[in-house]
Amino acid sequence: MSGEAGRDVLSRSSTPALPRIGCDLQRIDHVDRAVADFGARYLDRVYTDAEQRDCRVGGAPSLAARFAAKEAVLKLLGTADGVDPREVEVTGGGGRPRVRLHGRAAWIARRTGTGPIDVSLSHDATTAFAVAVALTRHHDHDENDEHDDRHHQGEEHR
Amino acid sequence: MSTETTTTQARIRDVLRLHAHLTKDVDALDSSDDLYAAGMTSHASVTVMLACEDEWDVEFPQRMLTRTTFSSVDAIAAALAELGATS
Repeated sequence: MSGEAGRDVLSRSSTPALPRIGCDLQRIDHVDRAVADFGARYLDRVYTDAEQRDCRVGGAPSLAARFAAKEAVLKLLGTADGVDPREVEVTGGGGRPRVRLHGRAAWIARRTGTGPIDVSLSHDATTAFAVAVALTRHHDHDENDEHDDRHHQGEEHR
Repeated sequence: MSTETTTTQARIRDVLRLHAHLTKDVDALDSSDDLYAAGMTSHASVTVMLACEDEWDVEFPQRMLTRTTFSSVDAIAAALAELGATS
C-alpha cells in the first residue's frame, strides 16, 4: 500500500480524521543483552534486513530506537496481537525515519483508516524513545476484532 | 498438579528469571499472575519467546505472537503444550 493509497484511505471516508499518537521507551542494555544472548536469531526475528543495515553503525542504541518505534506504531494502531515485529519497518539511517507496514500491520492500518505514519526517534546513554503520529478515521478500534489472513497477506502500507 | 506440569512451570520460571527483566521475584508470583504487571516489557516478551524456543526446541508461529501468549506462567505453559513441547 503506497503513501498515496494511504492518503486515499483518509480522503474516501466520511468520518472525520483525528490525530492518534503512540510512544514507547526501550532500555538499550536489554537490547544489547538480547543481541549477546541470541545473536542473529534475535536480529532476524525482530528487524528487517534494511533495519539491520541501518543500525550496523549505531548498534544497540539504534536497534533500541527502532524497537521503540515499532511499539509506538503498534500502540497507535491499537493492537500488537498477531503482528510480527518485522511487519512494522522503520528505516532511515541518518535522515528522517520512514515507516513501512507489511502483512497484518498494513491490514490493521487499512482497516482503521490510518494514514501515513510519521515517527521520531531519540536516545540517551541508557534509553531509547520513539513517538508515532498519524491521522485515523477509526476512533474506537476493537482490539478483539477477528482478522483474516487472506485479507492482509502481501499488503504494504507506508 | 502433575509432575510434568510442575517441571514445565519450573523451567518457565528459570527462563523468566534470566530473560523477563521482572521487577518482582518470579518465585513470588502465582502461575496465573500477569507478567506485564510484574514489569515484563514487550521487548522482554520477545527474548522470553526466543529463550523458550531454545529450551523446548519449538518455534512460536506468528498467530501466537500475542500479548496473551506470554502473559503468565500458565499462559506460556499452555502455549508450549499447544506447540507439542514436553517437560
